[in-house]
Amino acid sequence: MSGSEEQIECPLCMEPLEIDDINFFPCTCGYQICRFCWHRIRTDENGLCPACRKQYPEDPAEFKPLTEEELQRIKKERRQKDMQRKQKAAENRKHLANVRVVQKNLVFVVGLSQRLADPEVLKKQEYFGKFGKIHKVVINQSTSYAGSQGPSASAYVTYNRSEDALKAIVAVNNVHIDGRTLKASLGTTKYCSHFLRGSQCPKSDCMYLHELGEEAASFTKEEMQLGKHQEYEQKLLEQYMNSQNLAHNHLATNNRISARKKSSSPTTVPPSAPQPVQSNNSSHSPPAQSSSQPQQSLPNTSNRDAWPSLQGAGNNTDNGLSPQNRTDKPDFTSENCQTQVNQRNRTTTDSEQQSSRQSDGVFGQSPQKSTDITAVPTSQSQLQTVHSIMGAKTKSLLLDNPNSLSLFSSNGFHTRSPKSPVLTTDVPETEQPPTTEILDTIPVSSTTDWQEAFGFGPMSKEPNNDDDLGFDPLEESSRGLADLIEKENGCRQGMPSFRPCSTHHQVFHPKYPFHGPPPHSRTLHTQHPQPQNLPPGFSLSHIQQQQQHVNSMHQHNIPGMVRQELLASRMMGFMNPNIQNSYPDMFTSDMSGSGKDPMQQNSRNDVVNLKDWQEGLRALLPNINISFGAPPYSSTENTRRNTTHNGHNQKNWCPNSTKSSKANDLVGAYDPAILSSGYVTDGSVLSDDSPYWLKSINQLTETENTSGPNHRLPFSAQQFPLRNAVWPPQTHNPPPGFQTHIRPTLQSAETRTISEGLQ
Amino acid sequence: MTSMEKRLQKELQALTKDPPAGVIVNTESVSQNMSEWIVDLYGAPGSLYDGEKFQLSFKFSPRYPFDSPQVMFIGPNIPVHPHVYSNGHICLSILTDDWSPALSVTSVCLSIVSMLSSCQEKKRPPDNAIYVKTCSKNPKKTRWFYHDDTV
Repeated sequence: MSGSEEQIECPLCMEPLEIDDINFFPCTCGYQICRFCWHRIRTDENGLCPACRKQYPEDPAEFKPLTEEELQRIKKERRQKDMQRKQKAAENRKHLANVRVVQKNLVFVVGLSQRLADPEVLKKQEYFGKFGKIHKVVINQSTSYAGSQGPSASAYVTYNRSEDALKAIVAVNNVHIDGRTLKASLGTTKYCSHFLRGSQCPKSDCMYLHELGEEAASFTKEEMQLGKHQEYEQKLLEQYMNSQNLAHNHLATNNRISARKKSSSPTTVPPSAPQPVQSNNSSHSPPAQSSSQPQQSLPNTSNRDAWPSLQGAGNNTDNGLSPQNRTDKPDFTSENCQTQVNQRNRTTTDSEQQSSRQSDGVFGQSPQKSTDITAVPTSQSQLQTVHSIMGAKTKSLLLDNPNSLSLFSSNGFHTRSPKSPVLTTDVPETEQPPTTEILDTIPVSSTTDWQEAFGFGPMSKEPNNDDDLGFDPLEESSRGLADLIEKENGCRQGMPSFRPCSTHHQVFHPKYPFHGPPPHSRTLHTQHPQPQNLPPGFSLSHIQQQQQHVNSMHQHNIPGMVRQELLASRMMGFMNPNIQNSYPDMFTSDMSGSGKDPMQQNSRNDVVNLKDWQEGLRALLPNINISFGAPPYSSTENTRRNTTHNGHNQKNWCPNSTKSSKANDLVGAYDPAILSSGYVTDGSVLSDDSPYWLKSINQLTETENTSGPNHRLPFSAQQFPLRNAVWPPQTHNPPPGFQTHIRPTLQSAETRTISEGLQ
Repeated sequence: MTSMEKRLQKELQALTKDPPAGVIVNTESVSQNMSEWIVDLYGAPGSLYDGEKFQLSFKFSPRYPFDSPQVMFIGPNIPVHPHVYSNGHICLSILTDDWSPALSVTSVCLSIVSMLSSCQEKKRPPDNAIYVKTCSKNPKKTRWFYHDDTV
């Protein structure tokens, strides 16, 4: 029983005997136990010696306290053994001193301005806080990584979950803010010096490693200089993207979630999307319109539906939770978007690619969309072509949206194909002019639905009345939602919750309003909140199931959607929203795409933005203002290789922003943010929560887009060469290990795979 | 880690590393739940139970080893023995009154193997029928009347 080499253990409790216990023999039989167990047996148990079953005598049979000499000797021996053990450990760990371990939950960001170089600021919801729960933020004021950007700080952001870290990287990398380009990558950590010496680390919150890291994630400095750790990070990002894509393809719920996230991000995108849609429709839609338009419209609707449903469902069901879900979803969407973008660039039109594209579109994948559109005609197989066309159309409608649309469109295409032509045609026409009208009508119905669903009936109705403007309804609904959210959660700015609502409204309403009298048609739609959000098929599913239904609808219900002519318009809208990275973007894209959608989007954006934006904008207003201007558009255009499409999108964005007079800031923020976010990160920006962040960042980046476009470009359509060109510059900015290369490579890889699958 | 877990961990190590003849601990079941073990017992060569395989269930309370484990036969093959009831309950004093914290799973298993090996005639306890009908599921709740020191 007594133990190991070094120490004698108590046979009962298996604890090593204390020094004082070494000479403690309580029973005459000589059976040795520790005094703790002896006391326990005597007080709580039967008081018998475990070995001989004799009653323990009152005093221990044999107990000679150690002499001072013996005590010293034993202590000395133990100390020596301890030293030997530590030395052994130190020798074994010596080589670890040069090893850095990539931390999957650690984001290393460079290029932070002084304003952002504050842990509390970075933890805020509009910054890194939106990607997930942050464990710790450490700011490094060193400017060694500043590069050509002037003094800038770096930060280590530790998330509780590794997915959140990847989400943040995808969303934040290459984003421009405060005149600097942010570079984000997985951070590495070295081993704690105490661990290397084999001693106990005295710091309770020591962030260095105290246990051996994963072999695959460990890199020597030499390996890091060779970029090995970046390859590892790329792998992780790819996995993350793939998981998201899989979720989109296979899990309706996941899709919904992502859609929600996307929708949130789209809020910013929507403005741009509508314009692109119009122009795109004219240019790109014609080729594919006859066959592909219906499909596109369906996908769009599906996408929209999914997003709205997700958002709406989240809001409806989980008032408090919805925001978080949304935020999470956006992140995923962003990643997906990136991958999708890559795929789109290749112009593959496989269903998977479509899905990826959709996600990409959500994030503002306009560039890719444009490329996809162009490519689609060339390589299109029937379905693929259709999808690609759809994607192209959507892309054309909303540069960003197209990508998302393509993904969603794939789902919706199947069922909606018959109606799609009409829808597509209608959508383009209606999209631009009707946008305001549509928005008004859409918001109303949506708002009513939402209100009804949430019990905000009065609020929604009023908004509906105001729907003529379009923004009021959304705002009202958003307010109601915000109130609820605040009450329940109070945590997030309410963007997420708002987004969901807005998305629902937008999705359903835009379509309906476009085709018929907005309010009247709305009434019908309002009856079925989900349906409103979702295309016709979605309407079947009720509000409660909206989220799930939406997801499924997007994928499976699309056929039902097709049935309704509105669906086509919706589809367009959806496509556009999808294209838009953020939910707002989604809305705007819808707006642009179908005209109705844009309105809804605006309204949605307004709603969603209302609180979040207000807060985020307050902090980011300067940036936002910058982004609002033409620069973003130009930059986005530049970035987007589909200059024509992009130009349209940009135009649309501007109108949208102007349209959303009520929430000018919000709208502006959305538009710029959306555009910028979508473009900049392609996929990353798409995250729902990102809107504030992304928007601001995007805006900033947009202003800086001249430099930034390169980054975007790679994502957008074309593939590695462009990206490569872009990336190098980016890489210069980030620290050696943290270059953004990972993303490009991931994207490239994704694009390849996607293209292969599609082709 | 509580002393009970620590003690069981040590016992498991010892039992898997150096098991007595005819005693094999089912580590798979133990890995799922440290407080419930399944131990395979093989009848000792030369005994009436030669070649037979039995399964023992050990359930440890948080007070182990100061509290005795709940031990009973389980599975399809319950040994036919004057001190083993057909429901698997074992009439063995060290499992209740004579439990000592110095005992272990290994010592309990050896005691049971020894009990089986000393059997002269395969038969159920005389009160098997009524006991099986009325007893608790937990053999430790039975007030055993230990009368036979020969087996």
